[in-house]
Amino acid sequence: MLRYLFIVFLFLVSTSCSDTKKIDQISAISIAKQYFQKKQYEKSADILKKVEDPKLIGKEYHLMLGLSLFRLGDFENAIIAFEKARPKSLEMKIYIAYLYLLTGDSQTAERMTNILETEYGKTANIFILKGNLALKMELFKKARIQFNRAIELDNSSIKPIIGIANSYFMERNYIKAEKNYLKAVFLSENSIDAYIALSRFYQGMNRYKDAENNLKIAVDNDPDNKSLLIQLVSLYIKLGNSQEAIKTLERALTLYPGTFNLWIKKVRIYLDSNQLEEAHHTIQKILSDYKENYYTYLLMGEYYLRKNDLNLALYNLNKAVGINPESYEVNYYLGLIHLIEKNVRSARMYLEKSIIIYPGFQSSHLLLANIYLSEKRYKLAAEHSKFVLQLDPDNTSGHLINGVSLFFQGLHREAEYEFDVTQKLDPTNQAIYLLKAIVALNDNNKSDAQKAISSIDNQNIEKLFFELELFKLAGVKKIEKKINAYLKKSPNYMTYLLIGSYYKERGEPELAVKLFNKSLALNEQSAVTYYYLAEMESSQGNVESAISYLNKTIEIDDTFLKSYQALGGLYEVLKDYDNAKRIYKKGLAFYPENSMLLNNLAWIELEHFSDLDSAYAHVHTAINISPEDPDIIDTRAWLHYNRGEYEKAISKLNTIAVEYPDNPLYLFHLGMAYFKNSEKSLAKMTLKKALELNIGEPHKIKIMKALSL
Amino acid sequence: MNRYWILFIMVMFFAQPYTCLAEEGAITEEYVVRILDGEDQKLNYDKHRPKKKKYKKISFSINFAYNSDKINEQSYKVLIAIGETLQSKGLEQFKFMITGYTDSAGSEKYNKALSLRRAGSVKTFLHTYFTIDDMRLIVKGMGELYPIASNENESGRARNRRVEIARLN
Repeated sequence: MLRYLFIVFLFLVSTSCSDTKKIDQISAISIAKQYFQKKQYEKSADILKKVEDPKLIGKEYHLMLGLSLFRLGDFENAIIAFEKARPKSLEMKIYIAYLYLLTGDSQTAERMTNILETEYGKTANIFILKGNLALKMELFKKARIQFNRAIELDNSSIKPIIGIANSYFMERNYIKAEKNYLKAVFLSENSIDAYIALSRFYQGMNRYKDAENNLKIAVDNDPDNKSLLIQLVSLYIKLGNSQEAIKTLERALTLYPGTFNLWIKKVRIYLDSNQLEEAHHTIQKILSDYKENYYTYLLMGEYYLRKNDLNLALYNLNKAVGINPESYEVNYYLGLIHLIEKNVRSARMYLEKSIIIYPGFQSSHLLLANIYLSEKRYKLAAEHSKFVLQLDPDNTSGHLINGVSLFFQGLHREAEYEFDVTQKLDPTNQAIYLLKAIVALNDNNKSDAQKAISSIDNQNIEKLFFELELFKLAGVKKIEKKINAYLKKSPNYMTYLLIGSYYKERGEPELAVKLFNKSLALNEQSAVTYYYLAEMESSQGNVESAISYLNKTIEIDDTFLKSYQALGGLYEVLKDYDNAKRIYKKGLAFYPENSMLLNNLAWIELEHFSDLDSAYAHVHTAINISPEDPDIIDTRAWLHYNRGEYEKAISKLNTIAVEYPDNPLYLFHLGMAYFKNSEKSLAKMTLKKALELNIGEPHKIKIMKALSL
Repeated sequence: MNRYWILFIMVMFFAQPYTCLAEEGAITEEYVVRILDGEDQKLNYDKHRPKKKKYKKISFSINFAYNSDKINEQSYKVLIAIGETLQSKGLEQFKFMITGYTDSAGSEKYNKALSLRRAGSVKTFLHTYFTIDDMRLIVKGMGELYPIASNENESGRARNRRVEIARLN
């Protein structure tokens, strides 16, 4: 007896009860289960994902993980987990089919439904599933047939009634839709779903009072229901009623303190309503419980972004991306910060990653579209804005960006259409009228221009600009009266500046300079005024005065890009290449991805400093940013030439010479490359053409020398 | 005796490692389905807590002319939807209470009378244009009682001016 007891004792000691690693894993499952039962799905999912012992990964594990992931909105991985659980019940299998539908995989959902029908026959729930499948495919009549069949089999369920209502709603038959939503409420025993569906319908119809009142009735009936409270919070957020939203959230958090999503919503409301300190206070509260959660750092990053503290915003977002590099939101915010800091390439990288992770993330698409617009890559900008409009046809930013892209591609009618749509969606948006005025003025359409300008708020100084443009278009000569009226009404520096630039365009430089000087007298710190004066001096051939004014603009505003470009060019005219180089480099410190500055710097490094390596680095960057810019291609080709790579030079120069046959510099470069490549007859033909186009010296002399050989 | 010991040892040897820990409630498919149905969205009530009566009622913003019980045309679509619902299959056996409410502008007595007249207008509309037995519709005027929003501001007052339709049986 004792011997056997001793053996038993030995086995006990050797089993996992003494195996600490296994105990840790078992504890993990146990702890995960506790979190799971407390509905803290975030924490249960985190722990379950770390379990490795295959003996512990059984049906229960998969069900817990699946459900936790479902509650966190990770439907794709929830499906994987549920399928690994090898469900046996029809209800569970139906839910998996719904998850496929939710993730957009209608084919698999349909296939599963057919299998279930074969296996289980025609049941009400299967008909409801078929009805929802048909809805997804926009086969509304078919959907209603399925839902009605479900009702015939089981008239106690309101799901098919809601399904019928949804089908009418999607068909825009709102009276029938409402009828069925109301019916669902009146017939249901547990009417939460019915009230939520009804409230969503009212929101869709912009009947927000009815939506709110009915949600409140539902909350009265079921005051502790988290779904209802969240619906009510979402409605208040939509209505911009942050006070009520917070009140309702606080109630929900009292009942469900471990629900991370509710904390996120609370922080978001504070951030969106600019209650930054409250947001910070709340984030600090959740930091202790959710230190390992990337979202906490994301929220902190957003907070610092709104406080304009980019360093701390970046610090927190980098922490977030370190924990979860696959978060589209974190990548978006990193893109945004890099864009603010003018690191366009890094911004683009993060934004593109964001849409790879989540292709439907509209904010990233819109930001990318904006970047491409600023780089004059209009087709790419339009691609992104059009994608957003496919997902959200009422997105005003999407229409606006699309309109601008179309305008700059020369498609003015299409651009106007987009601006008209934006106007209908957001009639208070002043940008629309400014853009419509631009289009109309560009098309010499006086009446449309007049109409657009009259819609611009009188407070906007831009109105003056457009009125002056309209005068130019209409050929109105007697505008002094109107101008004097403006000057009398608002004699500020901006008015003088705008009127001065009007006279500049009209070819009245003396009057223009007089007004610019008056503008300066009122505001010595206006970089733009100095810039205009520089333009006037430059046009008169007074290069040194122009340089002096441009240096002043940079002194006042060291981010004035145009000044760097113009100043560098003027130093080049004076053959002061050291200063030209210095200025381009200074400009690049602020705009490291400005292709014009990069190209100009590369050019002088190549031509005047023989620094081929540095020239290569700069032109290579420029060409990645603006691959179709002919000046950049020309510089690149000339670099090939200087390296003795004549065929490569010829190949590149041919493409731009064909597109720009009247550019003597391209022809000169091409001719010289042919010459060096021993293609004498082509060289002669090309160089002669360059001469005919009046190429300047010293190129002229170089051509004559080459032709004489 | 030896056999039983051997059996005992074999069970111990092959038993799942975590039998040394207490077994908790199992997570089953049935449990998961209940959660997916939304059971985790509410707290577990104390069994002894009295059950609250759940009203199947819906609130509508019906527009009436100022100071009158005349229904404005813009509310016709809503009333048509209501009428079609109340006369539809499945609801024919139920009675409904139509209750009118006002905001707090005006006297209590006046508001009560106005709200009752307005509820009456809704009933007349439904009875006239739909196959709904008069006996199925009961009207009530609550005036400014039971406001659902503050009467201090216009948005609150607008919410309080409403009609509710509740299923009675």
